[in-house]
Amino acid sequence: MSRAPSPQTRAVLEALFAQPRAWRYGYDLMGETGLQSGTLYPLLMRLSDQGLLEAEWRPSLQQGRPPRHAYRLTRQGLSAANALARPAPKGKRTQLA
Amino acid sequence: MISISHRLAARLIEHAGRIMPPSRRQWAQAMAIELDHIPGGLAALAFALGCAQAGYTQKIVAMNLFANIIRWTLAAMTAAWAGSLVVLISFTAIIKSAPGAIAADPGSHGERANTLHLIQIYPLWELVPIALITVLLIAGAVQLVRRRGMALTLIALGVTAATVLRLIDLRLTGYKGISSDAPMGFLVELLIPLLCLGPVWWLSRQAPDLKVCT
Repeated sequence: MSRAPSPQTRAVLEALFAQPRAWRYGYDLMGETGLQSGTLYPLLMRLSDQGLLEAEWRPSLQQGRPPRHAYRLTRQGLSAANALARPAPKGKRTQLA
Repeated sequence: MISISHRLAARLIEHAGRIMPPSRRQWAQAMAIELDHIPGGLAALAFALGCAQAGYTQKIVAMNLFANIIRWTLAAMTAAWAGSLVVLISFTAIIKSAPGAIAADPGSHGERANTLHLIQIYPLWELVPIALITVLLIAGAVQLVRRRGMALTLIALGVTAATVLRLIDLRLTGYKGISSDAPMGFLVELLIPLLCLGPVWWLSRQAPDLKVCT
């Protein structure tokens, strides 16, 4: 069922949409959105379930560290974030899948 | 050297990983690795506490799925019960409208003769409460699917009415209950529908209206 995204979802989508092709890490997203890990991770899981977010293990930039879980928007996620970025027509609310 | 708070944070995330459903384990692993990149003990601890909260959230989401399975199963069972009552009403009405029916009509088997006898002595007025019970059960099943709290009230009313009617039926001459041959059969027959109300009550209390953070 479609519904309007929460402010937290909106914040995450906007943060990811700011650098659409870059892989982002959980802790960086926390800093950027101001969300706590307890809110951010369930959100990322849900966006991933909805096919709006792709997650991948990326090699760490720091030598000798294990790969980190990184995130970026899928094509579908980019369109959703793009729709959110545009002001909605009067009386209409942008909805997520 | 790893600080105490980092060690405690690692333990918390490990715990989060254990409580998360198996499909979410890679997320717990992601959290654990992310912890290595957090400077400062307090920040790490705050991060880990959030991860534990996320773990419990996922656990609750999984429970919600389980509750949904129970909800649909109970709704299907209630609807099936209502369906069987519709068949019972129709069958009884047909038999009663043909007073000349004999045991050979539905079949020559002894049990069928008993069934025919039961239907013939069954008071016609009882079809009205049975129809009412059917309506209550159908409405209860629909409300259960729609996650409405009143499902419990409707199903409870249906079960109670069915139980009262079952007690009234006892006075019928020659009536044998389904489980009358089994020891304590009648008690079991009454208890089963009442016990079914337990999961319905539980569902109406917590799971159907459970909201997960969006």
